[in-house]
Amino acid sequence: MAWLRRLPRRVPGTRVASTAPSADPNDLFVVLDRFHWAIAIVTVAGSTAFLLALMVMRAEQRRDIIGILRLIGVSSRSILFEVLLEGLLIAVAGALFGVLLAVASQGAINRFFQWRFDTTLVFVRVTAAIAWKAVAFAVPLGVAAGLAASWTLLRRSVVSLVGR
Amino acid sequence: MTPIVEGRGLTRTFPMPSGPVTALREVSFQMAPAEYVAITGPSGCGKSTLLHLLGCVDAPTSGSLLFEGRDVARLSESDRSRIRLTRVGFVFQRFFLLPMLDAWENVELPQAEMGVGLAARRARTRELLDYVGLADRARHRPSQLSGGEMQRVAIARALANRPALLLADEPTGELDEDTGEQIADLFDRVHADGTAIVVVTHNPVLARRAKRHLVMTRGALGAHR
Amino acid sequence: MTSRALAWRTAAAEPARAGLAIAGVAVIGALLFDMLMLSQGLLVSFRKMLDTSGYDVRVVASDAFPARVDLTNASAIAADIAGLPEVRQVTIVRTDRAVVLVPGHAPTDVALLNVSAGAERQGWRVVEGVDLGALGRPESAAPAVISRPLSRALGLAPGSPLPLRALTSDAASALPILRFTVVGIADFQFENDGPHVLATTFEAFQRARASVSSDVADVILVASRSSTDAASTVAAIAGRRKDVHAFSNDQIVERFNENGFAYFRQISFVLSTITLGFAFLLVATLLTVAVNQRLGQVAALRALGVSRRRIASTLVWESALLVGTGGLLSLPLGWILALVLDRILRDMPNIPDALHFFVFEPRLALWHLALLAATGLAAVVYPVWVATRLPIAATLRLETVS
Repeated sequence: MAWLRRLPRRVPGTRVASTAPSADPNDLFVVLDRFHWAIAIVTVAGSTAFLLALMVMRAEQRRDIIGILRLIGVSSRSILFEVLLEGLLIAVAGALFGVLLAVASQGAINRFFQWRFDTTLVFVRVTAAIAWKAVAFAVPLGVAAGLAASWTLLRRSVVSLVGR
Repeated sequence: MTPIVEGRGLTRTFPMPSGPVTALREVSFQMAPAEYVAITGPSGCGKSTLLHLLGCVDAPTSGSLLFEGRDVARLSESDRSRIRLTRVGFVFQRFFLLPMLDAWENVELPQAEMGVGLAARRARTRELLDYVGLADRARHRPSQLSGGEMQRVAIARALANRPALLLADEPTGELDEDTGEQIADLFDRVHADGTAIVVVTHNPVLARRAKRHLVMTRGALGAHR
Repeated sequence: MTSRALAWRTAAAEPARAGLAIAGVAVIGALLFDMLMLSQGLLVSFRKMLDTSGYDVRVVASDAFPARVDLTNASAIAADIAGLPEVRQVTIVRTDRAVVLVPGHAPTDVALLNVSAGAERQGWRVVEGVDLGALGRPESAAPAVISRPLSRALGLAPGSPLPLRALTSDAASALPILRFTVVGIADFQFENDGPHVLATTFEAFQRARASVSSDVADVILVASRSSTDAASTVAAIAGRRKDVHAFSNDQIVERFNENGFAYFRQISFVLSTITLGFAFLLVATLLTVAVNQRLGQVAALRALGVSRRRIASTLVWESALLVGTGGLLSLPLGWILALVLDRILRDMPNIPDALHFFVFEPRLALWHLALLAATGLAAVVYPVWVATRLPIAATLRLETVS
């Protein structure tokens, strides 16, 4: 498109701008994207703390069961694998539920802002890539939290697990 | 003399997915002050259910229950709660001590709930822990006590507000024979000091200590032969 | 033992759980605090920026402000407005685009600025050299007061020559190069990360634009007398001149609030709501799981005669400890996070250095704590209901056999 670049010289006062995403780090939408990412990171940090708290409680709740399993000869590795599997199932279910919730709510959010600003612009769009990114982030996080919470229990002696 | 507790035609039915289960069938029971009663019977016969009714923890499906002459059915939940706090002491099979409090604080808790002043609470708690022989373990948490010691703390807690009636549900269920004897001895002392006791138990030693022995069979109460 | 003491002991007995829950509340609370700051931050900052300029009314050519339309016959309009009894001072502001051609450096875009004589002090503050109106400056060259960033970028100091060519459009300009001389270096009030600013006299400004008669301005700034308010001045100007539009600072702020700032207000509302909902859900879940773990204890306490009120108040105190401690920690954390987020947003083009998105106001801290407190109370409703309504006998039975 060389002729487009020559256009402002031939027709003074005109400007030519590309509709491709800007590479300028200070572009408005690029900056807003960074802002949204920062918010997302903070939200994930907060929810991770809560997730860990719940996992710690859950692990402690099953201290007796883990102790009994260890007593009857089930290895730590087997128990850890069971925890991993359970955590994976819960994390996948939770991540999928989150994606469904986002898809369900994007319509309401868009309708509200379109009404508020009298526009047809779309404000929220959950694409397949975004959904996959969310799942790819949430699942390992959930599994890791479950493993981290159970790890301390599995490192304890069998006697301390079944004792009061 | 007004009985401490008097039940007539007590029935308790539990709705279950597979159909209603009647745990108590037309049970009539009366207990004088300072009496010592043991109730034995096979598992699932309704012993604990009767104990819960006597302690105003649960309400009968039908029948009447009077506690110190008051019709329990006419009382509000807060009134029943008050009775449990001031007139009844409970001892459980699994102790149910608060794990984050030490022995002293567990015994103190019901007194604090009743609004007893600090000095009086301290005196009473010290007295009770001496009574059960655990004065030197006052600052130990339940996790640092043996089963027998925990049960003794639980008994001290149950006696905190000088109840007229002590209800014990399988108090030696999780204890060995010797420890169970110690608990039985403690109950003898409590009874000698004027507290009425109803103990539900499988332990024949404990049952023999009582002055009256009743047997529960499939929700019906009868005398022991 | 009081309910508060019991709650404290419960939390202290499980330090990992309590610590993580408090950390979670602190982080989410920090985000909430920041959203509260964002909801009004831009407005507060913008208003402060306008108010500290010393002018409370702005006169422009078009009602489509802030869109820029040339204000012609600026000097006559300014003189007319200056004659109003409500007016203390009038300043004409002109800007244009130019490019500085310092040897050894790439051509540098600048914003060429001129303000009425005597009003320079309010537009900028000289930090080195002298101001445009100072005695002793050479008359032979056009004087220029440049911004600090420009002086650093081109290695300029007072006395440095400054070749400059005004621009008429994006295309290269055929206007002649003018020789300016740097007389001073200053901090400009409305400087942003856009083109560097360079101020000069009216005569030099007109020469740079090569216009025969160029009495055109961007805006006329008006300061009201202390005995009158901006609204009265606006009304007086509107009555005197029908060919211009006057706006008070409040009206300007309101106009920006409806349009330019609306996105941040909306996003702060949405994120505040989501954050509160998040905090509610997480605290409620945590407390409910905690209660479910302790059903046997609760049933035993109820059997012993401990009242529902005591059980409920203990749980409320537990929530208060978690949410209260986390909430207090969220204030300094939120302040730090606000610095980071503000820095990100200020990367947007043409944001004045003095403008901030996140502005702390003491009332916001109170609002923040009140919202968290309400959330903590709401979150404890269900766990309290579970704990106080549990069937005592059935629970004892279940705990015994399980």
